[in-house]
Amino acid sequence: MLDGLMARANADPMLMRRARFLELEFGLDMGDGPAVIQVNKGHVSASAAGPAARPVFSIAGPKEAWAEFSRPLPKPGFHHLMAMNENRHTRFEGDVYPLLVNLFFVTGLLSKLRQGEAA
Amino acid sequence: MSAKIEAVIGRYVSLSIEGRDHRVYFEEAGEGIPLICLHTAGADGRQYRAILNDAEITKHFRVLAFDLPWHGKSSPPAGWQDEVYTLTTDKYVATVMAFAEALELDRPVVMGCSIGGRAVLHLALRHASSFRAAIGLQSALFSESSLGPEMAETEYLHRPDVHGGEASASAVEGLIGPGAPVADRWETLWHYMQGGPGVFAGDLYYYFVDGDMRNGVIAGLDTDTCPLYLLTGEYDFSASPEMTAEVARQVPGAKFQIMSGLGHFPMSENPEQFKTYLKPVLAEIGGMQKAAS
Repeated sequence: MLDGLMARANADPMLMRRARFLELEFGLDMGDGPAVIQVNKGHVSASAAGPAARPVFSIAGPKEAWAEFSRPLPKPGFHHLMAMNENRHTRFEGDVYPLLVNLFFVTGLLSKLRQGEAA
Repeated sequence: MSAKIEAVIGRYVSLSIEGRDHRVYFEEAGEGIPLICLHTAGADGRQYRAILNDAEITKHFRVLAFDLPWHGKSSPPAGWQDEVYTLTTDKYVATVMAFAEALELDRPVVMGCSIGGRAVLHLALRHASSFRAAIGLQSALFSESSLGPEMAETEYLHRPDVHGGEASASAVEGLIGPGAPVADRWETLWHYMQGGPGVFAGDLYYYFVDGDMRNGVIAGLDTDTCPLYLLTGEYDFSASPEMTAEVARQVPGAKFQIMSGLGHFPMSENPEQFKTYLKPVLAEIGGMQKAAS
């Protein structure tokens, strides 16, 4: 699923423009095990998180939550990353400052879950 | 002439607020019962563009939307460069009262969203007899964010190495309902991106701290003198339907309705959907025929 997500994200020039100066690694667990998302100046990729992975922050939640998030019109509380966090459907770990100041990029990336394949 | 020119007129008014002179911008349209519209934190009166442009409403209501000082086209007061902007309950109430008095509005209806939804509660408490009715959009007694500690520690909404406008817009995007028209969603966010440095953060002081109404004071709100209508979008997790329901429980006579599909910025994120909830309220207050909506 993450490969498809990365492909759709990389194919969006306006989303990648937001990340044109960004170098960031963060964790993402959508119920299939932890992955590391690498953002490298306008390109994004995903890989399984190895034992040595220490992403600055991570986002994790169960499959069911991401499935609802991925629907075209999710229920209240599942409709945005911050809504999922406030309703404890997902959890943030680590230093969330890089997330907060790059929030449009991260939420734009996750919005690609609503196109094409669903979780 | 083929130009499509709106009936909305923008003007400036000089107000004295807490002893300081302010140049305040407002837009208005229509005739009839004055309807003062209060925007959300970090935004401006453009959020009410669809209400100002609705002929059915402006036929019966004089719709007025002003930009709080420091917001939109309203200037900060002279000397602003030497202070940190902070909105307090007293300052907010004084601003609305100064605006209503300067324009000699006769018992206006006051409608506000988010911080404005809180402010209408404070206004109805302190100045009930001055208002024909209060309409609270996304009203709650308080608000908290699980990211509050990070916000306070990093001040990420206002620091030199972060674009505060984009940070502010991204912070509120999740409060918009997922079915909002794309153009209205991004118009709403654009207003946030245009906010002055530190202004959204200064408004949040009222929203999170100074305007906290968990002190029992709300029980004194007299809905016989100033009827209170509460409309809350179901997708708002900052001022959620449950939080507005608590207001309704504590204010006898308050009328509360959840707005399907809408989030924290109903009048701006999805105006047409919002108006299906607003118009029956305006009809009940007076001046509009229910059958016309």
